[in-house]
Amino acid sequence: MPDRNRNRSLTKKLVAFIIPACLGLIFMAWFVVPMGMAVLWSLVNPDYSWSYPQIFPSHLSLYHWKHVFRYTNILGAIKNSLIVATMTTIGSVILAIPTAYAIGRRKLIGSETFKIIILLPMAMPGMAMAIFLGRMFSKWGLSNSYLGIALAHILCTLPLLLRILTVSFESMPQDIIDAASNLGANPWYRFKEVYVPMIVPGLIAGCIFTFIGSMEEFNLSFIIGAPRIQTVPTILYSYLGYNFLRTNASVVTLVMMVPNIIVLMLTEHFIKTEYLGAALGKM
Amino acid sequence: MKKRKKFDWGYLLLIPGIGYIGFFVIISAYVMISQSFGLYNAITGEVAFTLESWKNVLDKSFFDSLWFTLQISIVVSLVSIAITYPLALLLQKSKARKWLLPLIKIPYFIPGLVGSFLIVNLIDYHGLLNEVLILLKIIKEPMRLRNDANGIAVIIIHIWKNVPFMMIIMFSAIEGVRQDIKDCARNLGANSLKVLWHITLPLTVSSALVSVILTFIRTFNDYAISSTAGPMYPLSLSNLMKTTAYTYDDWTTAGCIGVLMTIVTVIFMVLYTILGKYLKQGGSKDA
Amino acid sequence: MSIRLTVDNVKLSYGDFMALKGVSFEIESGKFVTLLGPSGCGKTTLLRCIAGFLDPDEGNILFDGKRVNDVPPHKRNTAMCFQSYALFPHKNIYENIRFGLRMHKVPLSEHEARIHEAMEMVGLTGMDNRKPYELSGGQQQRVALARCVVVRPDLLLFDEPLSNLDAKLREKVRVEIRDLQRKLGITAIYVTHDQAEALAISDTIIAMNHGVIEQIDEPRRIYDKSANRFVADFIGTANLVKGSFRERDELNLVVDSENGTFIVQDDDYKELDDISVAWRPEDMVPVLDKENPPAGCNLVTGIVRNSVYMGERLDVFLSCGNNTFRASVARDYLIPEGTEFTFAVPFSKTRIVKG
Repeated sequence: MPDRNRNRSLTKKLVAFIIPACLGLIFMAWFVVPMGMAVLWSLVNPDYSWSYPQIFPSHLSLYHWKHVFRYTNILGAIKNSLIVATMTTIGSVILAIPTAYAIGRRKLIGSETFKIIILLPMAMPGMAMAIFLGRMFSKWGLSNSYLGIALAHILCTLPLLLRILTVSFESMPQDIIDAASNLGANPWYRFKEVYVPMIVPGLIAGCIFTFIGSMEEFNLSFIIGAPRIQTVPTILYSYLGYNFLRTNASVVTLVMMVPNIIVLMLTEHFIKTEYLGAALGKM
Repeated sequence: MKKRKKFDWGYLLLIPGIGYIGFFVIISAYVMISQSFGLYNAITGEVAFTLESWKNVLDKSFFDSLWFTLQISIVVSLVSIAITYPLALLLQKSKARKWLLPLIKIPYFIPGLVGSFLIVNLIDYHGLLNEVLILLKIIKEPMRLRNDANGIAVIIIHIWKNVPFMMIIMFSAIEGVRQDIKDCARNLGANSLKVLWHITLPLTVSSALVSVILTFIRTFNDYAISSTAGPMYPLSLSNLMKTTAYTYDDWTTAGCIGVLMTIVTVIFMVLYTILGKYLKQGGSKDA
Repeated sequence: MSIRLTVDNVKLSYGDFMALKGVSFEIESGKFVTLLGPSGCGKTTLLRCIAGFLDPDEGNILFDGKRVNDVPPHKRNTAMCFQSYALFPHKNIYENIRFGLRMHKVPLSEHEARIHEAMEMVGLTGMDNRKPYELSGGQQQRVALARCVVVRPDLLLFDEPLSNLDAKLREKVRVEIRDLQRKLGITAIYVTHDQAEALAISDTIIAMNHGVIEQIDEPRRIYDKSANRFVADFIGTANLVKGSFRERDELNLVVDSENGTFIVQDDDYKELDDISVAWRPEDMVPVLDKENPPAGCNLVTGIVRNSVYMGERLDVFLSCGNNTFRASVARDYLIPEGTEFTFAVPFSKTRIVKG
């Protein structure tokens, strides 16, 4: 009997090891192989072509890196994207907090309808919205401006942020709010001392999704920003179009990922801090 | 002494969010719809009511595009859920999820176009995939996967991008199934397969449907990926609309295409909100 | 600092459901009063009206004779202990307790001394920097208590504060709450559905059911002199049997019932149409010698259906006609199930209740 048990636990351990190992390998292929290819392509020496049947390029050089940074607006595009994403995030948060509070906390008549209205921007194809809103924006003189792109991006990011924040407000126990007012907190202090700190986890998650959403939004940036303001996705698009240059595109791709990877690391760090669970008081 | 009903100032707080969304959505919809009838012209301001475009829009290239886009969206959403669901189940049980989950989420945080380029690199005519297959003598000639008429590259890129998105929804849904319910089922004599079939699956099926619908909408409305990795003909609907507007300068027809696309998306959004009502927890788009 | 609370004909409904159907009472300054009743009886609704979270449809709430209906909760200077404790999860213990002081604009210089005094009172010294989730249920309960008393409120409100603690701890903390309230002399209102807790802790018990007050009395009277069937049955356990009044013979009242004639010595008796005879299980005495039953007692005979050993006593369920009566006797008795048995209930321990 003890032997059988030991065998079983050994198989269990093996399975427990093999499954994640396989999954891990798949995801390495999922992500690391494409990345590796991009790195290799970006380092190809232009004087020696890399083609079949060579597994690795015969000569490496930083030529394409230098070229891209010297002759293209890649840093400008990153700067533009960061500016727009920051404006979008700040704007979305300012617009979303009062509304999410009203829907999540005030027992308003028709709040179910408001929840559906929130989703409307998702019900319109991105390119359709870009083209037709873009016409209006150009009439209003908002095309080719940070403000114009940010206003359009807010429209796309608000639904998700509003949803996240509404859920945050809804899931807050009423007792905690009552305790605050019972201890003498007027509405302003309740907002500042209780609501805001307690929605922080949702707010951080929401900000990250908003920021990423804006960084990678293509349609609106492309239609409203072009040609004066290039963002990360639009500059990359120009490299993937008809004058497709794999080596240069590799460099651009790798550079483009830096901000998003940083955001990803931040996300993992922040979203783990889940102290909201203690909010119920019963442990 | 009856209580007087006071005006609820909470409604004013709706203005920033609801007002903003309502204002811009109505503007875009107004421009789109009136343009499709020739009633809006941003450049010259000349307007004349016409049904001409509505008669002409339903031509062969439109139906080819519609069919192509629908095909891709359906394949992508079904294949993605087929990959995601078992994976989420495995991960939820596995101890390695702490480091695997963030890894899977990476593509979600990478711009779609970057992903598009990375994958195109792999499956291109002289890409790694073809060369390895030739090296292994599985195929003789390299396969044309990029810009091919079936949109294989587009499908692969969308799956690459959407599996992490679905994973975020599905993982929390599966995680949200209470352990005591599963333990109870085990205690009543169900084996793990039966627990999956009778407990986990029914409790997460609505989340799965929601993630399928959202993936469908994302794919259906995509422009960037299909215009870089997709075929020259047929174009995706978004691409057809943009080309009609900007390349052929036919804004009324573009308006018609926009209206038709919106109708399809709205139908799926309605499905989404109806399903969303049945979601108690864990299945919200964010979680 | 401590106030007199008046509740005057308060009515409140949620849609069609009348949660409070006209409730009136007055609490003297410094008293400890319990609102006792089953869930859904309106006791928590009433407490929330007093705190100001709910606005009564009709009637008035007065603090020291001043109407407070239109005063918002944060200006009422009450302090409430919640069932869920409602500690702020993002603040540490010190900041949790300090919250009320900041809101009441107490000078900063006083904060530290008052907070530490409050923490000492509830036995939390040295826990300043802990977060709520690092504490046990009992400790969280004490933080909630300290957070209330530190603001020196006019009125302490308790909403089933002990229901999430285990039985032993509950008994300990309820004594602490009572001591603290006595020491501070603050009027307290305590909501609970646990009759033992209510009896142990209160100056006065207000028994509620279906949104109305059934009886207001001190613990001893509410147990021994229950006004009606509901109170007798809800507070402790009562054996009840429907009866009809036959005659009065000096001290003794004679009541007929389906289980025979009962003689009741009850000086509070008023003419009632709809009455029951009631007695407590612990007042039933086993009759071992049937030939010589004790004098001055009603005799109840039936078949022993269950005989349950409870540790500190033996509970016997006696089947008499259509009724089952419960007797609690000393644990030394051996009363076998299935046998016929007789119990004696002294006339003076038998009561007449309404309903």
